[in-house]
Amino acid sequence: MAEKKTLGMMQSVAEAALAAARKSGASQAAAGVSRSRFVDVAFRDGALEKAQASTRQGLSLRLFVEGRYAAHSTSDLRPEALGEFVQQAVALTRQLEPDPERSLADPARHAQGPAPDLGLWDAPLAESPTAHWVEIARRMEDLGRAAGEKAGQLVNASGNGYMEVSRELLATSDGFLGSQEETGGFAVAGVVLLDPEQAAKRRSGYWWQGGHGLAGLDQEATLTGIAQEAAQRAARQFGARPGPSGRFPVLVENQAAMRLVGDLLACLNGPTLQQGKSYLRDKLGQVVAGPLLSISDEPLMPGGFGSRWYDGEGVAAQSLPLIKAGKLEHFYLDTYHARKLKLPPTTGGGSNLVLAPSHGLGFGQMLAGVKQGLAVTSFLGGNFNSTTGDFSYGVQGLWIEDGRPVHAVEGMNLAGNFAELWQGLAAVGNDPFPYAKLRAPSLMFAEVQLAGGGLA
Amino acid sequence: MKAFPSTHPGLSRRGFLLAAGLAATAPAWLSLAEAARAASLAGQLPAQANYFAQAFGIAPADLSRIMGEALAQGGDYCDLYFQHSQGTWIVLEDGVVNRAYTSVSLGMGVRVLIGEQTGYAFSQVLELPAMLEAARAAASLARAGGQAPGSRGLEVKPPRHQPGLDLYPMAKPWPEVSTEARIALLKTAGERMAAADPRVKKTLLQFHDGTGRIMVANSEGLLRSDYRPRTSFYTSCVAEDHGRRESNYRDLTTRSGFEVYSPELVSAQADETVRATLELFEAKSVAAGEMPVVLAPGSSGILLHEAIGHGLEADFNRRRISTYAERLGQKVADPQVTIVDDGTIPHSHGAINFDDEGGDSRRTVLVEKGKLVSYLQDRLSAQWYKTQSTGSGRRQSFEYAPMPRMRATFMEAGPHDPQEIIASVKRGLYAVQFSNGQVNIGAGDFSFYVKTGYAIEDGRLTHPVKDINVVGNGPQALARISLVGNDPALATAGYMCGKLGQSVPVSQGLPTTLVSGLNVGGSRG
Repeated sequence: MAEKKTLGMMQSVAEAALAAARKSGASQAAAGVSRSRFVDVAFRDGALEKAQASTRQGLSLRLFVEGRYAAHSTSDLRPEALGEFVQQAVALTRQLEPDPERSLADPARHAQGPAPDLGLWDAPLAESPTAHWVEIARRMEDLGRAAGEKAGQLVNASGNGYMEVSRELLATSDGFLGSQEETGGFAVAGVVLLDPEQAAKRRSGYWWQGGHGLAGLDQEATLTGIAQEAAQRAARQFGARPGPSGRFPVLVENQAAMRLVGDLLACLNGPTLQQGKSYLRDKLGQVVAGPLLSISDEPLMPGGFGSRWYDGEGVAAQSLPLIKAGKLEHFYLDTYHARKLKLPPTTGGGSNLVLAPSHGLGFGQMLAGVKQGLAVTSFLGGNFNSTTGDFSYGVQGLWIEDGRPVHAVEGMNLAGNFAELWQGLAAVGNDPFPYAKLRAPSLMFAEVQLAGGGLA
Repeated sequence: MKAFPSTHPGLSRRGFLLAAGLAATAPAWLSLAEAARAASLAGQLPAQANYFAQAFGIAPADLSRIMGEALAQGGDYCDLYFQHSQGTWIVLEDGVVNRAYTSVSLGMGVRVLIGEQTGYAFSQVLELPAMLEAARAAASLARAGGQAPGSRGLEVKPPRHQPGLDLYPMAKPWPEVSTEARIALLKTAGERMAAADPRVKKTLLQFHDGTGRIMVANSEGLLRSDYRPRTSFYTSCVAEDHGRRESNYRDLTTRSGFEVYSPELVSAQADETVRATLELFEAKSVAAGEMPVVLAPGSSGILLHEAIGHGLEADFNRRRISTYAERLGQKVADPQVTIVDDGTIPHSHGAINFDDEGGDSRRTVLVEKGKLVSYLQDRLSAQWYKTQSTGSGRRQSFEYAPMPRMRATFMEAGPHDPQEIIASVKRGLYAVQFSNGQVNIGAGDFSFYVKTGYAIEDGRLTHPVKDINVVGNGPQALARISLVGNDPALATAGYMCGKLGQSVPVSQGLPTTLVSGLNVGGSRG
């Protein structure tokens, strides 16, 4: 089988790199090899705009040489180039200073094969021809144009079809060998409408769906739904203007909530903690959010976009509670950062993030419960200071009065501190965003400082 | 469309790269893979033009053959982009040089155009069969995977080499710089920061250098080669005062050799990093809401990048997506305002000896005395507008087709004294350091993040402020530029600009400038 052969070649590259590292004097090494094939097609204004397809591959190598550590990557896998690359990489590593906490993970924590079936591979998708994705892109543009013309004055419609077949393999000098194969496909619609209330402004809406299998994208109703969602997201921003300044309840739609949850998770990372740049650095075991917040990392979730059976160090994947009912339970710690922080290791990087819902409602129903406040549908710029927890984000969305949107919102800022924001978490929706690793649901916050136009 | 600092190292990360149009911004590290071939080339720098011939045996006849294959299915035009780059990142954490990263990127991309349709494929193997396969794939993709119409093939003109500019000469080129010298520089700066003040608790410094070998050939007979250096020096620290913690950073990014790091520059950056961090203990919040904003000279050019730069990229205009579509020739700002996008500033982060489709590097006036005079054009958009490329066709790497991008975007000097500008504001914000920005092209709404600044009260700078997002609307903000200073400066910090999943190095600059009203996102009501 072609797959077996590809994996065999990848394993040879990893083994050659490990052997070269050992020969040059590395005491330990880990080699990761990735190879992926993609097709990316875009239609616009009724014609093909761009079609791309290729295979990309690469080697990443973590080296431990006489107590010193460095990491290296290359896309040049010619055997003669690889040997020279590893030799130079070891030589550079040797010139650094010792860092005694660096090593591979404890082999007792290695994932044991055989690999479980996580529902990440779909043979029909892996074998789908380029023409299939050309057709999806063409179809999405057609549907986007139709939906856009119905929603307002269409400026532009676009459609994309994207597929990727990827494989990765990890081998360590102390015996771990694992691999994972994954397929994925996406259908995307983009609609740009002229704002009937503000002549110079164009309102754009994008939407997409995707999954590991081909079957999810072959229903006409699914594709039509994506196009209609894109058009609706453009049209709902018509006439956008700032809402009032002041402290108001804020509802954040699931897809946008990824930004907030992502910034929170960045404070749980080993490197951020080790540098003292997390406002949660001394808070393990303490309450850091309201009782409605429970977040866990779920690598073994079937069909997830971040699913995996081993992590970047080859450690067995397992469910990891991060925050439980507002209490901080675990950090993301690989072997090195766990030693530096004198804590037990967990895993160095996130997989699928799951937030427990506090009720059965989604964005629309939660919105209906807002007396007066802002529903955020997207963020525009802004930043979060992980050291202090201070944030200030540009936001777009809908101004809500008595459970109904009264006008679209743009040109507003949302500011405050994470400690207070998450303490004020008032509801967690039951509508996790399904097309990303970070499956954020819609989130309701009791009161946040908004800066907009005048005062309410 | 985002701009962000160019300072994060990193390694490969798994996951799907979403299709263009999803606003999937590339992580910062991805763009840093655009880098160097240093150590292995020491002592044997081949002439630029011959690099791919010497290192990979790629002869002019091979280029013609690949392009012949690329045009065999009905293409009007094709180009080839070769890249071999290498980069090194060395990290000093709390006084110890405890890790390093290196990255090598090798490959070539083939672009085929049929009218406005683009087919693109790349190969990471520079052997003829693999490159011919990429050419066939690109040819077929440009036809949307359809069948070739018989055996038509355009004639490919024999490649003739054309020199580009020489914007990044190096006195101490990277292949001649030892690892020890890089480490010594990090140590000097790190020790200086740690000793500067007892409140400094943590230091993290990173030294990067890289060079990329580039060769572009096209079916019209153009052949160009470049050797692009890039170096950055990032210094950051965390300080603690009465249980409160603050962190800040500084960075320098330039297309230069090691000679740029004078002892004075290194000491000054170390001192400035500590000063900027400690100053945050004095920072107070500002009231939220709309107010006058004075932009300090230098990195405030992020305003131009977000408020107008992206909106003038011709691809967004020809698709009528930009809020600036069909506005060429119109007055968009006060006559004090002249905005330029320039690829020809020596050693600047956005400097290019020629663009990534082989076009001449140029200086392009976008807004002249308040009037909109040009878009940023690449080959494809220039063809549509029946004009010339402005030399703005850029790409992240051989894996991507080019598109119109900014280079160094700045505003020219105005008539006003900077002090006079600050003195004219009763209550407002003086914005100094920016960490990122973003724009929504269609509506023109933008946002940029002020890492540090000062409150202005009764015409004077009173206290530091920090972590404030500022939002505005591009055309409206431009129209609200009321005073332009006589102190133009290009930022020394390096920004990466992200667009449709590709990031490229850019520069930005501005003289002291007053915008009469922007929405400032303070945390106080």
